[in-house]
Amino acid sequence: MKILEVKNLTTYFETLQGYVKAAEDVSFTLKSGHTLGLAGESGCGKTTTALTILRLLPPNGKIIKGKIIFEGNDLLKLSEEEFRKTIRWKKISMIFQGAMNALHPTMTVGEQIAEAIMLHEQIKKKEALERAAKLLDLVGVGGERINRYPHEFSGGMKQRAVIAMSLACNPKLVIADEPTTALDVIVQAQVMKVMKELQQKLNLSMIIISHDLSLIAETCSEVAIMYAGRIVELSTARRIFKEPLHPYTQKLIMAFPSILGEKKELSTIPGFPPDLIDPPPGCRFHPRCQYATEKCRKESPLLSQVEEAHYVACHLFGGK
Amino acid sequence: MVSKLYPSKYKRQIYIRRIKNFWIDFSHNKIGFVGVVIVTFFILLAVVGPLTTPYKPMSQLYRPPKVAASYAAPSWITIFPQYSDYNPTINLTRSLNQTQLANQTGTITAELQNDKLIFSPTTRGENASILIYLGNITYNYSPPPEFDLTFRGIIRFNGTLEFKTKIILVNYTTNPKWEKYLTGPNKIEATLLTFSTKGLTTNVSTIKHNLPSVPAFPNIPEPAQTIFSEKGKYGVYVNITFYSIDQGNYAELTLQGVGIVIWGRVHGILGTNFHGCDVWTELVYGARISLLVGLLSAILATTLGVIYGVISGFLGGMIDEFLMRVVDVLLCLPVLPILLVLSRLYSPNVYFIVVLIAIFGWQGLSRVIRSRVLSLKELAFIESAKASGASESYIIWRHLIPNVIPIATAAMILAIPGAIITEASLSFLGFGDPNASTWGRMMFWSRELGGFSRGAWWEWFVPGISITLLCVGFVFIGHAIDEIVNPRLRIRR
Amino acid sequence: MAFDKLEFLEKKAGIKIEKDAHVIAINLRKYFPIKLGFVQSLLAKEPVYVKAVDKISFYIKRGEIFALVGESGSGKTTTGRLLIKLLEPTSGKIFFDGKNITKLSSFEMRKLRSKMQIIFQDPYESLNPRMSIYDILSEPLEILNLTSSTEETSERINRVLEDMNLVPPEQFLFRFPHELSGGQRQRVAVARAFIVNPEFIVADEPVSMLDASIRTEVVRLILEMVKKAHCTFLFITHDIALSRYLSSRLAVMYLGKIVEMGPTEEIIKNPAHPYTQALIDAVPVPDPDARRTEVVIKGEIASPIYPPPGCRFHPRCQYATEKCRQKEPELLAISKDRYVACFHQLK
Repeated sequence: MKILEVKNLTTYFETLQGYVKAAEDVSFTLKSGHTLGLAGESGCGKTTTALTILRLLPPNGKIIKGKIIFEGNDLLKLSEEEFRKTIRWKKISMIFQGAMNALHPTMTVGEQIAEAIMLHEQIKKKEALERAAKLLDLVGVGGERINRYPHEFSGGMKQRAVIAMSLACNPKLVIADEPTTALDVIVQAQVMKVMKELQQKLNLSMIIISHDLSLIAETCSEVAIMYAGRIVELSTARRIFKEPLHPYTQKLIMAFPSILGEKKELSTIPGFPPDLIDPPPGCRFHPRCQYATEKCRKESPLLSQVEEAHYVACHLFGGK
Repeated sequence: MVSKLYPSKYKRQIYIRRIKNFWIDFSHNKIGFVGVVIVTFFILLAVVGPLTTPYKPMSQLYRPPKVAASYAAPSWITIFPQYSDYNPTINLTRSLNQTQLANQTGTITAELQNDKLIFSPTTRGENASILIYLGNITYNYSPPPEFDLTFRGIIRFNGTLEFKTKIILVNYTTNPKWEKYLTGPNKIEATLLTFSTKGLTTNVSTIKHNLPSVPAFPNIPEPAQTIFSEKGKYGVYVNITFYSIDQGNYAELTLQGVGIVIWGRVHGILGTNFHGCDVWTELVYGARISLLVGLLSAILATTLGVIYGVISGFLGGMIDEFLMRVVDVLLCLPVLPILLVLSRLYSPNVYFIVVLIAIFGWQGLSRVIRSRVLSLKELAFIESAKASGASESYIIWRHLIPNVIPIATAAMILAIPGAIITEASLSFLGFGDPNASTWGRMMFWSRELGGFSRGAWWEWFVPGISITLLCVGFVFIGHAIDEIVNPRLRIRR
Repeated sequence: MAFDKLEFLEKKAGIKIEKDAHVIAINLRKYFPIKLGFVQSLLAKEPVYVKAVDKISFYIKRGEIFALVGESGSGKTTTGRLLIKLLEPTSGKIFFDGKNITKLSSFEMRKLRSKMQIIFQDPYESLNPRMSIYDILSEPLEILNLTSSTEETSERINRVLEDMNLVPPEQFLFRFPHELSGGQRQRVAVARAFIVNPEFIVADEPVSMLDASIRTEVVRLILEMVKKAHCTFLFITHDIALSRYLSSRLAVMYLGKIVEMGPTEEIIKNPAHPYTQALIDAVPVPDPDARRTEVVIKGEIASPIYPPPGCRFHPRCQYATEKCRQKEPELLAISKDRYVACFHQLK
């Protein structure tokens, strides 16, 4: 059962130097209860896509075209008032990048979670604080800590408090943007464990955004690889990692050092990601691709189905 | 700050890039642009303004250069119907070669083309008189506020003699007001000057004589309004009478200018002040001083603040604490009263005021700079320089100060309005440099000499609004720069 | 280094030191005093310290890459800075190239600065935003007075930019740091360290703040440069998987102490300390089918101000016994050049 279907979403940012084509023709679906991983380097459009879904773009961000169909309704057709009242934080919520460092330093953690609840529901502060305590229990921080300040929490606890905040209004879909960056590796594992448990317990659908493919491999059922604003490969996690088709995906997977098994050679991707104000014509990856042909330089390949539940945007595999 | 080891072509490229980067940010800031326009206008005013006026400001001359009546209004005011017949300054002053001989008696020879009158009596007690026609005034305005009679000449003489000059005004139409004071049919005359050579040691004397209307016509109440109360044509004559006291007298009078100046009720772009001097000139020369004081004090205060803040922040520890407590104490001092007292104790000179304002203006900035230095000190690139063995002075000059300059520049520009207003306040209260015609001083005179109560808005309003606009201009520029250099203020565009 | 001196040091430190050791740390300690509030300072009986580094000893061979692995709060960053004397040790000795540099004044250290360099973690903070790339790279040459002409300087800068794959160099020389991406900035920071041809480089988590896919490129370039320059390299990181690719020997730190030390591949294949095992278990693997052991250690790293009594890891360790709570285990050799500080080593 599909909970979210994104079709041809295109978002540009208006800047003094021109339009930054941050997300171009992004399309994917998410089934209820599943986790989709949105992977790619910094600046490839993952955060932009998430902000577009939640309609939290900065003033110079413009949604050019596309559909975001959530539980059957196109979210882009709703007015801002309606969206704020019915969808944002109530049905879809987000764990922002670096949110653990953006907690208010002079409010207790309990008050901050309660504030999120009270903004969306008409309940009294006492009740909201009780619910906040329950949420903190749920994420493993402990309800007795609602009267503590953020600086008394460690990094992992802060991140879990932020996760609790995103669950404040019992959403159906949670988007997590780089949930484990800046955490130590053991704490990362703990936080991801908590997220997995929560997903099962509350039957959440999740979108996890990360530049760390290993993290995505561990936690997601479907994976979308993004490059320079476009989705270049979309499939189940197993297929992406076992049979990567797009040249970028292949190189990306080989760029991760493995702790188990034999010591493999690390591969690198030559060159730099393109400037999104003036991206290369045709396929945006062609300047760095070893298989680039004349067609790649002229025509941009579309995301097309190669086999069941496996889509690639590359001329090597059709691209029409 | 550019490395010494730069090939010169690289140096130029870097500067160009820096300026380009800054310009991209600045040119899109509308407020900053408005500020630049305003400040450029005033800079042009200060630089080019003196060229637009033929007069010099009062402070530069010994005697105030009167150009119209006291508190004459701006001449463009005559556009409005109720002011349309206000008179401009009418000057009928002639040297002899521009006049006509009307009558003469006695042994006077008139060499008009040489501006000379020669009196050569043969006996004692001899009289000679000459009547000269200066010209006509066509007066079609409402009665003027005041007029002066002028006489300028050189007399060469032998012996003891006297001469008397009378101005005769002739009315070609009838004026009933004149009838009460007539000295002849349709004419009024007054003695302008009586000159005697008795007791003079040399035999050459330069005579400059300005006689305002009231002493010239003492029996006529409000002579300017009475004499010119009707519109019409008026003729001006000069009668010079010589009287020889002993034998062998001889006099040669070179007349360079004699006549009547009717002071205008309107004048120039901005009228006149109490002394009748052009206000536009005062404004334009005042702009120079205001800008100069503002810029110099701000630069001085900023330099002091940066040095103090960098030293305090870099040294840290107890020295930092002590230096900041000193700043705390200085901030508690009441600035204006101290400035008033100091400027009274010592002769108030413009540069002295600049220094005084700077001394009280650096404390706030030093705090800001110190906290910035404290946070910069911890950054990795400073550690990296230390790891390469950089000395402390290298770190201060190459790393700390360049990173502090953007804030300091914004603060400096925002300090300029403060300095301008402080200086204007001092002058307005009468404590500034009396020889500097600043805008504040203009407002002071307006208050002191009655311009404000007489409604002469051009003298106090225009400098006031100029101060305001100039400060607003600098604030806008400072605000725009602050938005660029202070990352927290940046609005994503 | 003189042989008898080496023996003396080995006895003091309790570890065997190789003869051609380039950098040696003996019983190194760094305590940071804490400023207490007014009331607390009256009540406290003895001064309170953050025991960031608490008696560690190790050595790095000439020309090798040594990894120092640990989480935040383990003291690895402080150790790196101690070795190049950016911080003064509270006690212990540091030897560089056979010479005792512990007590050298900053003036004397300056002569050695051209031989040691540091690469920082944050690509945003380690470059002065007001200086162009040219400025940044010429700075160490200028301070240390290593070049005699502008041509030599620009030649060296161009060369190091090419080594770092920032080509064409002209495109980067005049840019400012905010115009470059994180990966490019970090390459500039690495270039800055190598431009003076140092003998010893400390890299403090040089790639942690970069995208996972960019890390490999920077790491590969570092490896190339180290090989070319034959320099000794200390790689500080929390990513044990990455140390596997870079280092030949590694040491694992926990709360200011070394808990395991030895050849990298051996430790990774056969970790002896439970903490090392936990670190390895926690590394995510890019393979959805890989079955990994569940993370079993609980809680978070304790505060270095009040470390737990006995073995510092015992509150989180699943094998902890009464002995672990009371006595602190020493770093003992379990085989040649392999040391562990634990009473219940894993087999």
